[in-house]
Amino acid sequence: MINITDLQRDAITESINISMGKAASTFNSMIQEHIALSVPKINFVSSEEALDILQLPEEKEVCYIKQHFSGTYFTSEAMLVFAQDESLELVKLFLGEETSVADMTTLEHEAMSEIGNVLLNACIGSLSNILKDRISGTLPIFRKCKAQTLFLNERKEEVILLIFVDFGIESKAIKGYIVLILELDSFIKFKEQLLKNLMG
Amino acid sequence: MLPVLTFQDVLGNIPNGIIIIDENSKVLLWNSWMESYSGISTEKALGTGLFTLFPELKEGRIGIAVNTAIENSQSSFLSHTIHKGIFPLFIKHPGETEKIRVCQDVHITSARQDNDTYYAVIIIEDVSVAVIKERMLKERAREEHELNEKLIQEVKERKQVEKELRLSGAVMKATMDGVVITDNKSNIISVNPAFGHITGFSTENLINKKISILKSGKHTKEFYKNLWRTLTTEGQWKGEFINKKPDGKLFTVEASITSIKDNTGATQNYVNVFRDITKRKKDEELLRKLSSTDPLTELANRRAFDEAFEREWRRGLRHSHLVGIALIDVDFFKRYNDFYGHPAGDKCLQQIADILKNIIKRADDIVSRYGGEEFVVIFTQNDPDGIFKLIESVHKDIHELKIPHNNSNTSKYVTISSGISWVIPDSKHSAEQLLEAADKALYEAKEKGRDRIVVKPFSE
Repeated sequence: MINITDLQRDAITESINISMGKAASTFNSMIQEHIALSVPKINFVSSEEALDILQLPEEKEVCYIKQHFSGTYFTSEAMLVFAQDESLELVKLFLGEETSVADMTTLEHEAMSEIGNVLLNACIGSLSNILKDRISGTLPIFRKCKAQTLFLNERKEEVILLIFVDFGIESKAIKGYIVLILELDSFIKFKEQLLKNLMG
Repeated sequence: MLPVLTFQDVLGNIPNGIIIIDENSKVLLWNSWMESYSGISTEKALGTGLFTLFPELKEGRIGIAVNTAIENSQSSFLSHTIHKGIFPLFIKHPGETEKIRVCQDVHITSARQDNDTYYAVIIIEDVSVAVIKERMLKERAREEHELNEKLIQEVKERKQVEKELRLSGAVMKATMDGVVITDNKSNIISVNPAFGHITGFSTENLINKKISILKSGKHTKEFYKNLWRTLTTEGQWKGEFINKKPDGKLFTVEASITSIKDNTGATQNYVNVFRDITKRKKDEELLRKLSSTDPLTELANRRAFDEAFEREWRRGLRHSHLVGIALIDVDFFKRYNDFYGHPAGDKCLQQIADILKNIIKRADDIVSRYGGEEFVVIFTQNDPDGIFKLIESVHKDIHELKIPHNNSNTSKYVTISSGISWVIPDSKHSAEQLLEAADKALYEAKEKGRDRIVVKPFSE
């Protein structure tokens, strides 16, 4: 049921990659460094599988930027997740300062929020293009937690769309993950509409 | 009953900038916060395009975010940390002459009136206070961090020093060497247990006493002057000291004194490590004595004689004073030995040696056992007459001893023969020649019937 065909997967990946290009140019207008953004793959998984696939140890500290999106075909909690040490590289890049996640200040959280906001908007924007639907989004919030609690508070049966994001900054490769949590009926509608639009 | 408030009444009291624009970016709402911070009146703003009011914002993040809100209903967040006051809003704080740009976070969301009409709601939050507070906090954190690092470093260094002190303390305690540390005024500030064992002083009462309590008075001023000079110029002095115990006993130490300088190069302390070599000194003395003494008679042995003769000859040469030699031989001693046995022979030699020691007492005159029954005396302080008289006394005393000698051809008692010669050394002659002359004299004494003294001048 979760499965989609390779063709569908490729189509979504390509579409998201295009919008990531836009997000990258937004980033590049914000900072001096050149950032290349790419989405090498996407995966539809269950919430139980997600951590394994993200290869995140349960105790690992992560930070995420979260927005709620809703459209005609689906509503979703969308998160951009960084494992701590990697997110620091981004903070350093945007703020030009050394810091640690523990020491990150409110204003630094806000900077991360903006980074996440640009990415999540771009990502949802591309889905909204495929679905030919207006998907509205709330303002981002920034949180820190242990990896194991990332998917805990979801009550219903869900499907998670994992979008792997590579931030290419000079020689460094920072990995982030966009996580779209879709309730099952959302996913079904999403998939139907996706198939219709991709095939049609 | 709720008071009748206008939209503006409510929004005017919100401490944030609020702008609502339509899909053509035309300003529909401009609250009083915006008025006061932008300097643009609500009257002027309303109905005007946002990018007419702020043309520089159209192509940037604000332009994109407004577009995203209206086209896609997506919300955007622009943080001050990244954009540093994106709207040209200014505030003049009381007491300040310059207006400053407002630190701001910008939230842009979409609002929808009906199915096809969307608006963008722009909320601008003044985060100046937060920014200042955070800057202060960061500064403080940085200072604290630096202070911490400094403290950690200091603690580390202190621990290292403590560790070294503990180690050196353990070494000081365990070592057999005496260790005394003084300040630069020679006051004792620390001693180890071995110090007490060696010096005989009780270590508890030594602190703040002068190190000179150990002084024996056996060293000259020159010695101390030399010591301090070496210590000052080279930072270390090594040598031997004669010290005094509380009970007045002297003891000799081999000491190494090192000066400890502070980082300005000024001497703060002296560390004196020493070991008691009194016993070693005694052993050395004994050894020296053993190697130069004839065990039977306790007179100087042949080797000691050779050294002394050589030395005295040179001295005589230098000072042009007389050096005399007397060779003394026991008459018919082989027969005595054969008849009375070796122990008796030895006893006889000891008795003769004692007489020699008794008569020839001057420190510079050296009596030696030259060979089996032959003795030799070096005279350096006597004239020829004096020499003769001394040897004559020896003969007399031996006569008086009356050691029986049944196998002697000359007497019933033990007798001796002596040959004397003397010279004031000069470069034309050698010590050996003087000895030969004395030997000839002795030979002559034997030839003439023994029990007599023959003086042979050196020149012949």
